[in-house]
Amino acid sequence: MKKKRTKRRETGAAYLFTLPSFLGFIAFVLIPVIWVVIISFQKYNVFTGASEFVGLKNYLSILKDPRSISALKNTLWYTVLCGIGNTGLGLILAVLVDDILPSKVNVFFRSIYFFPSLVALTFVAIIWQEFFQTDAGVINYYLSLLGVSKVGWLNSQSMSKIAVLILDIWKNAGMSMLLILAGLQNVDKGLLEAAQIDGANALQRFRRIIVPVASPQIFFVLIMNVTGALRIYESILVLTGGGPGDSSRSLVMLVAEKGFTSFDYGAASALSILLLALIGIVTLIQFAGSKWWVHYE
Amino acid sequence: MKKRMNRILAAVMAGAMVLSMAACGGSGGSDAGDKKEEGGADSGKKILRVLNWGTAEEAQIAQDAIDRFTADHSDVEVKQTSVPVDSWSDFIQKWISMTTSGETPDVINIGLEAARMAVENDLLLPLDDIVDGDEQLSKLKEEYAESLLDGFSVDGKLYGLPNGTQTMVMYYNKKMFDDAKIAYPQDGWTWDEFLEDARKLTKEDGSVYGYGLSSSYFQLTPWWSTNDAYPTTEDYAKPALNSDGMVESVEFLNGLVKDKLTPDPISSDVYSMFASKQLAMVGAGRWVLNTWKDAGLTNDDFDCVQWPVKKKDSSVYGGAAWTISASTPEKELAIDLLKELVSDEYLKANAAGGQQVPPTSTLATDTEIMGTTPDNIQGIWKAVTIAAPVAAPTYFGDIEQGLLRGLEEVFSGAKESKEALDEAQSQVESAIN
Repeated sequence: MKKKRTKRRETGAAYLFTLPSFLGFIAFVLIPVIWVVIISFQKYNVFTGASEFVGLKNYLSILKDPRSISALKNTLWYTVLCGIGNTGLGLILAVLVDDILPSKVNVFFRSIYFFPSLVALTFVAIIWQEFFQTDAGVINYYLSLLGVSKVGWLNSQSMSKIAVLILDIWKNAGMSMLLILAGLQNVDKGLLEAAQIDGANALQRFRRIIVPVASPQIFFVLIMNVTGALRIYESILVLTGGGPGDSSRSLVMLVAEKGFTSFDYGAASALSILLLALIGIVTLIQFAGSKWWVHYE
Repeated sequence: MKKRMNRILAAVMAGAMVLSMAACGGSGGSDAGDKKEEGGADSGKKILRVLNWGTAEEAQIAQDAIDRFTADHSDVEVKQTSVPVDSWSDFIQKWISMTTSGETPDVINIGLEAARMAVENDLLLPLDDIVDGDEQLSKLKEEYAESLLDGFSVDGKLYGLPNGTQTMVMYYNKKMFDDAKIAYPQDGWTWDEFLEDARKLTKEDGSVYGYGLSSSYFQLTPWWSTNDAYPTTEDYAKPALNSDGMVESVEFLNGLVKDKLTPDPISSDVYSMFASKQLAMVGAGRWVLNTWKDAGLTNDDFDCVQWPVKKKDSSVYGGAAWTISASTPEKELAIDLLKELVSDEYLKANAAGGQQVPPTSTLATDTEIMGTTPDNIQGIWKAVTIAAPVAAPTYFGDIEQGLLRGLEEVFSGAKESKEALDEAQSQVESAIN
């Protein structure tokens, strides 16, 4: 009898503990998402609040718009390169700072690699804008010393995405490094030493021991970076504004433009639902692929 | 005992979590509203809400006017919200969110770029009868530049009383002209003369450019208006981005870019470059003068002249005006507050800050307010009187973004002028349908 009552009390307590988080989820996530889905089928006047059901018109106009296709291509470009770039560089940095040098020096390197993640993006962007200036920028100055002609980082269609890529990786690789570093702690140092004695070189130790053991953390970081890149917005907004033209514009930027510049909430909502579907598909693909290379203990 | 402590601790943590989530949700949409509250809590007083924009100094100047108003109206409480504006779409968003949360502003300081949008959506009260029936306001109306009043009128009805304006003149570096032995430009000079001067002043090694082109909607307008072209039709109903005049102007500007007479217009900071003597000429209004003075530029270094002419003398003006909400429940009080906000004291203080040009001829030609740098400081008011308003139809956001994107395609060499403008035109047309 006493056991049953305690069990009910425990269950009740469990529900109470999760209730605040759940209420927050309903109020700030679920209800707005439902509202967005509803609005995506409407023509909504933001000034009067009046709305008119228009069926799939918003979705069709987005799918037919060449600007959406261009933004999709750009977003996929960012997803592949920022996702792999951030995760890859994070992995390499983590391996490099993991117990190779004396611990005080390690801490120094960890700090400077992580530091960009701490600085507010707005300040970072202003400084990088100056760096990327075609005529007066620091990067082009050093390139000219090496004999390379001036690169139009921010004003040429081909280079604008690369400038955003550089900024994004510089800013976020440190966070990936930190998370993967936690995973590297699971790697048994004795195992690495034994492998070294047996004649395995650094690359083999990396491929056969370090990556498989830390693969759950690497996978987590990859998911974070890929879904983050699918939603890339601030890095582009502050550096190129999506330009020149539409060359660096991402899907989220297009959503914001449709919503807050054109005041067309219906189209903006439809585009964000399409983006949600895209993120869902990419994540499912990643989870399916993870069976091949992620080893859980 | 321990169990009870645990439960209390759990309840406190749960409460903290809910509150922090609420705070997160609330501040997440931060559009940096700087709320300044007058007086204490609601004690049966009538409340007027003012929506303003600009710097902290400008908000304080408005607050001084508000204080003068409340000194005479002790039964009224006035709450000012001042928003730093990056784009006018942000400002309209702020206005909408205030309205939907039940705090509709009664008196609004609105920029020219947003005026038509507001009138089209029935947000503003027409002011003609109010102005004609009031001595102070009628007198003030006489002083305003005609062009400014036209800008804030739709279909012949006046909706706002201007409180400040901006315009564009061509600033030039006197020393560079002296060194190249070229005569200073005079009012009425042509595009061809401008082009010739720019060529002579551009240095081969790229250390000095003849002109600094700023690829920004307001700053580009004089290049349309002096060619008798305009981004929209005369009634503002449709875009006209690919008219012959617009294409001709864009071709001219693209020529400057291709011949390297100007640094990259997409990302260069032309105003800093002029101050650090990397540009011989640049177009700007009054807003640069304080920064340039701080950078050490004097009357010996630079002066200004009207915009070069192709088909007509022109320039551009923008600005802001105080308006009254169409749905205000306190019309009489709002009118009294409005009068205080366009009083001589307010207009003088606003202009003394140095950013804006005062909207009346008396104030804008007063050297005590405008200063005496550069020598031709009077040229700024002259530009206002001959200027066309910045093209601000109801679909302002779409046309601004569409035109700038098209120009970026041209300046980055990706498209030809006609092609880019045709595409921009069709993008804006489909966006407004």
